[in-house]
Amino acid sequence: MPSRPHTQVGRPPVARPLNRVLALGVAVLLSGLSGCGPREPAPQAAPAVGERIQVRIRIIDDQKPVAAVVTPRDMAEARARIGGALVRLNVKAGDTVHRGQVLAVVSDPRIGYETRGYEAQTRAAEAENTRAQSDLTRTRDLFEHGVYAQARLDQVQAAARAADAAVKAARAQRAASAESGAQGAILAPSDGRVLRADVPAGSVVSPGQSVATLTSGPMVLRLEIPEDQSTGLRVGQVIPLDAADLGAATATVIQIYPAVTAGRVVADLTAAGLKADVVGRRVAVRVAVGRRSALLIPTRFIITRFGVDYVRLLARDGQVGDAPVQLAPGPQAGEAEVLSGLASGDVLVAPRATR
Amino acid sequence: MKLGLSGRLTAAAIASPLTPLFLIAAIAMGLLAVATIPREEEPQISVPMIDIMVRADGLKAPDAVELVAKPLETIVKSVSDVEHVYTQADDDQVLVTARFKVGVDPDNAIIRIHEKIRANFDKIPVGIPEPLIVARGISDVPIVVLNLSPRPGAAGRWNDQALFEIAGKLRDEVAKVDNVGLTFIVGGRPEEIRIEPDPGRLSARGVPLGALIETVRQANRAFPAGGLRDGGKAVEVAAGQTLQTAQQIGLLTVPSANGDPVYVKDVANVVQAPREDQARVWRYARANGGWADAPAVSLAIAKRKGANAVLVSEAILKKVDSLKGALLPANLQVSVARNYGETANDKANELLFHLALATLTIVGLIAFAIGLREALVTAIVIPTTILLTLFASNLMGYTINRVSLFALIFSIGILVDDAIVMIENISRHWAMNDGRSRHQAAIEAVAEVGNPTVVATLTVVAALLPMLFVSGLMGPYMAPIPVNASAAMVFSFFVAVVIAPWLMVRLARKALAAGGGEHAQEGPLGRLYRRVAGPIIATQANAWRFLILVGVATLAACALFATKTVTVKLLPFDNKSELQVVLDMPEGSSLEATQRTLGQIAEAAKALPEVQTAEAYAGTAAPFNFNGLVRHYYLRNRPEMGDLQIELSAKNKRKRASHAIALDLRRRLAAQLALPAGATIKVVEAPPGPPVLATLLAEIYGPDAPTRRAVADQVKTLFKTIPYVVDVDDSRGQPRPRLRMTPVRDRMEYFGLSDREVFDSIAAALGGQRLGYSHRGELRSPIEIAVRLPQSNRTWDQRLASMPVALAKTPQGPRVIELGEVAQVSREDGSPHLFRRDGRDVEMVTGELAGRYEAPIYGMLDVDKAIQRHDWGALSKPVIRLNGQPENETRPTVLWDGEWEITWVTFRDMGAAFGVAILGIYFLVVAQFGSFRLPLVILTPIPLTLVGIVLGHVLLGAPFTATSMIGFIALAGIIVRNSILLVDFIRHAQGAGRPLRDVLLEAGAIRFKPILLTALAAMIGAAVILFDPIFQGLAISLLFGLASSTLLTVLVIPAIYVVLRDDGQRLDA
Repeated sequence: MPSRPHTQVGRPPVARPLNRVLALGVAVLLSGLSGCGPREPAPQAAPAVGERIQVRIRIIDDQKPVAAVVTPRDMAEARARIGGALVRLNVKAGDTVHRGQVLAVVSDPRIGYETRGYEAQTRAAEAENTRAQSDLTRTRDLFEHGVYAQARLDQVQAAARAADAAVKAARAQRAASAESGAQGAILAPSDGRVLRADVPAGSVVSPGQSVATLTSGPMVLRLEIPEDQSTGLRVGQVIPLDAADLGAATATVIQIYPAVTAGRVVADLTAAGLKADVVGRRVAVRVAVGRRSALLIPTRFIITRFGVDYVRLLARDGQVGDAPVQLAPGPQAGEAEVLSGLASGDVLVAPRATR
Repeated sequence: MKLGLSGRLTAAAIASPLTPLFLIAAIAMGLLAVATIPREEEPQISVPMIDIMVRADGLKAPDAVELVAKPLETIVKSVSDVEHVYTQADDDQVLVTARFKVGVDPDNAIIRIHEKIRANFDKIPVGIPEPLIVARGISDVPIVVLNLSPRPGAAGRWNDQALFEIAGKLRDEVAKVDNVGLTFIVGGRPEEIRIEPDPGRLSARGVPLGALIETVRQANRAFPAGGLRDGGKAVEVAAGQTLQTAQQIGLLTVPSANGDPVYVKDVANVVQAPREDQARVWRYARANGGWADAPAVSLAIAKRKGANAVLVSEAILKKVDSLKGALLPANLQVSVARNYGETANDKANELLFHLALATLTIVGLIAFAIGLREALVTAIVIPTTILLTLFASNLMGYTINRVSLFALIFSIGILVDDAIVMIENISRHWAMNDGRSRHQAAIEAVAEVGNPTVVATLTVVAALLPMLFVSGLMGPYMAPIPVNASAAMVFSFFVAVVIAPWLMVRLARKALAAGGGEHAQEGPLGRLYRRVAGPIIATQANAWRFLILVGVATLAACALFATKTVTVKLLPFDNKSELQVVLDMPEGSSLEATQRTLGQIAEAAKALPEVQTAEAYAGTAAPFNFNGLVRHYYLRNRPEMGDLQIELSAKNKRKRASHAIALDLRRRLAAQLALPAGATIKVVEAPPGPPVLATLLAEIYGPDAPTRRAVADQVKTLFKTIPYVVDVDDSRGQPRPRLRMTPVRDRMEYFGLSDREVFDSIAAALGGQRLGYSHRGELRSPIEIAVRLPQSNRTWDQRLASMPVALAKTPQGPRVIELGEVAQVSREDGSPHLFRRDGRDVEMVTGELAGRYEAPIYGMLDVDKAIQRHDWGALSKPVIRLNGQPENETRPTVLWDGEWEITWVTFRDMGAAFGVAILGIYFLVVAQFGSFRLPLVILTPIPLTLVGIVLGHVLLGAPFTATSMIGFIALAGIIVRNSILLVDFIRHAQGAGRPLRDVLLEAGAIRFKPILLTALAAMIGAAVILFDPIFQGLAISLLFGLASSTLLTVLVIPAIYVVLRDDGQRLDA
């Protein structure tokens, strides 16, 4: 953009009351902070007094709006180990849980029947065992009395041992069946919050099915960005957030995932005070993916009349005149970007200072 | 005595009872004409200009010329009566303008162009849409411009959208007035429901822009769907209901990439707000000693062809007045920025006033010089003639406008001549008291001067008629003068021989008893004449000396043109109440930059005490006038274009004429304004004559574009070296910056996108998409629903690059593709404007003249000199042409156009016609006197008028203009009449064998009085318009030219007689 020599105000400062000089100093300081070059005051004859700045082209970050999603770094699923009916669901979405806590109970009635069957079998085996033992006692007695041959005793002894083993087997089978019924309790795999627990009690679940989803690990903001714009992204980069209620104005890049999926790169950001209760929320973040030049002015220099934005411009003869501008929101609050209407080098006067 | 035509007419009428009836009828018809003749500001000059606009998307200007412009030019040129074909080509568009010959019926013209183009539709290149053919004519020039703006106190309550709303209603009301033509609104912004897509949010939600647009478009549909039977009746089924509010639209759901329902308001801001047009109208007005500024809306109203501007504008203003308090609230100000009805009426009334003033003065003159009764006769005869002329003017279809007014004013001076000559001679004959009856004396008096009067009248007509043959744009400006003035002359003759004698007899009847005869034959004027003329014709040597002296004086006077003591100019500037400053910022300037510069121009204008209000039009054009029509100002709608319309205080409330103010403003602007590089401003005054593109216009032809441009640049610098050439500009302008978005082919293939999706989205995002209307019910304008990016987002940054343009299917599911991913942006310069005239490529350098010289001839001469002196380096020195496009385009050529072209054509035609006229006069005089040599004597005094004319212009410091020229031509007629009467008397007296000198002195002494009287009458007629800015030249010519030539004629003719036919007899006395 060409600079316009006439808007340069290069007149020497003249004596003024002290307070005015002080006020001017503050103004100069302010405008210095806002990144615009301070200008010297015009001679007393000029009607324009007060804060003034000279607008300059600045190189600012070219920020790309990207939606980040609040998400835990990892997700844990509480899955049913057995198939069966969900008889009890102890948690609802949003609950905080601890590792090992029973979240739900799945029961399969068939296991009960099976256990009872094994019970009966056990009892039958025990009865058989009892009979076999008494048979053995009697046979041994008769053998000692020489009634039975050794062969007979051996035969009965083997039968008794078999009956005893059958009892143990039946018991073990019964115990296994009973244990299998106890696998219906679904426990929290880690500390965290329940994100989803939407299987209603009574529904049938299959083994391996997820009954509840729990957060696991710290909260992050996860964003996806087109691959060619990801080159500007660095771990440790601080990125401004557009969500006031999150309690955090900026976030820091903590991880950039190496894989490019569908032309996008995924990155995680962390922000202080990210709470788990907004998981899945979209947060607008602005990622600087390049640099561009812009004319920025503090918003206090803007006057709006009849719906048109103006700035008060100092002409070279010291008179002020209004110039219309087209504004866009600036990168920071209190700043506006001038899309058109001003040129680098123009000197603006704060509106309140005149009349 | 032979009566001749005049004598016989008088004899028939002097006692006829029909004469008074004729008089009454003439007056009645004239009054009727005064009441009914349409009055308007601008002459209804029909110069049909048909604009053919062709969109040539994607074509650069040079390609557009080859593909579109050249074939179109050929087609247009083949239409009969097309005089010029202008082509203006830019990137993506071509404008071909067909200018028809002056006087062609505009309806006819557009039909011919339409037909010809339609017949060649098959030749339209691929991808070029049907051309848009627009004809704007003189009847489309608004006669009334109303500006709506808030009153200073109520500024906060109004914005330009509210003003626009009211202007729209006001237009509906005004359209009810009879004979209202085209009306249009400039400025203001309509309300719209705008869906402002937010690229970031669209992207985050996975909604492509197309889905958003389609959702709203479909939701707003409503249409008749067919019929059903319901309760035994046939009912029509209507489907859908249009959307009502922004909230309603915000709650529509849009499908997203992952199937989530998304509300429109989640991805876009839906606002009901004024449309963000790139045009602004601002009004500056004096308020409480300072200046207030506020948005304004201009309502421009034209009238239908042939309607009376005065009546239409009065009716419009009455209508507006009646709406005050109802449609127009008290804190809204409706100011009349232009009222051609009023100005036309003012001018017409001024004319009538001038006519009355001149009549009264002439009557007074007659009363003083001849007598009261004769004065009374004159007082009746003059108005009758004027009224008859007006009647004839009306009958011939002329309206009263600033051009035909000129003709009428011009007539004042000459139409009284015949009557004065007759009345004076009747009075002189009665004074002879030689026993003839009054009737007889009157008839003989008329007969005596009758034939020379007929010849003289025809002479004046013959002198004026050539103006009818001026071709080109100046033709219609000239035409009313010969027509009206000739009619006036003819009527004045008949009134002089029919009504004047009758009135003389009626009024003089009482006086008969009192007895005349006290009048001496010659009177004191005659004696004075004898004393002056005697020595001159005493010897042949004296006569020679006198003639040589006069000849030298004439030559010396003409030499003042060469020394530039008297400057020439086609037409002087009128004293208007408006001025315009036209601003062209460099191509690519934003609306705000334009408005800012306009504000600075307004600051300079505010310092002028005469400036009352000013309206700044940025990104649009002020309602056009005739000049703007020809210059196509109404097409100025780019953000870098603007103009400031300045209204001055009423003419009688300021000392300076508008031209002086314009010069002052231009000086101030040059001193104060720091224009950005490449910007130009022009202070535009309404030209009094035909509008031209620029006063000083150099067309540069050459073998190729680089040569033409190089030469044009040089010529432009040369223009700037000449101090009185101002507002220098060229046709090329600056290259327009562009941003080109090209799809990245491999990305598109990777994502499986079509170009169509991407381009449609780009078009919708940047161009906006109008989706329909939200209907509001009776008397409320439906509000447009549109998807548009707000102005504050219109900058190419990452934000805009995030705009999702399409959905792509990926193994991970559908996802949106952003604009920045598939489009590459590059910055480039657009092509310069290309101009073509009549099939040849041309670069133009334009300038205006202000200050020392104001006619193009001076600028041309100085530029020509500079071109000769300039070091052209590698370029060959351009050839300078004064007219006609060069046959040989291989050498760079500078062709002068603009006002020069018109001047050249006018003077060429007028000169040729004047030659014919002189020949015609010669024939007339030969017929009258039957001699070949005598007419030469009679024609001799014609150049003598120049002495007075030139000196008059020097005295008043006025430029010699076309009106001066017309005065000169008319004087030829008037002077010849005096000569004829004088020579006629000399010849009659000569018959008796008296000494020549005696005869000469007697004839001169007798004719001196009527000659002086007619000259004085014409001078009085001229004097009343001496201070009119336009007619001043005419007034000076008539006033000073008559003074010099009258005095010289009565001396020169006797002197020539003495030189040519000296009989050697000395005077008795």
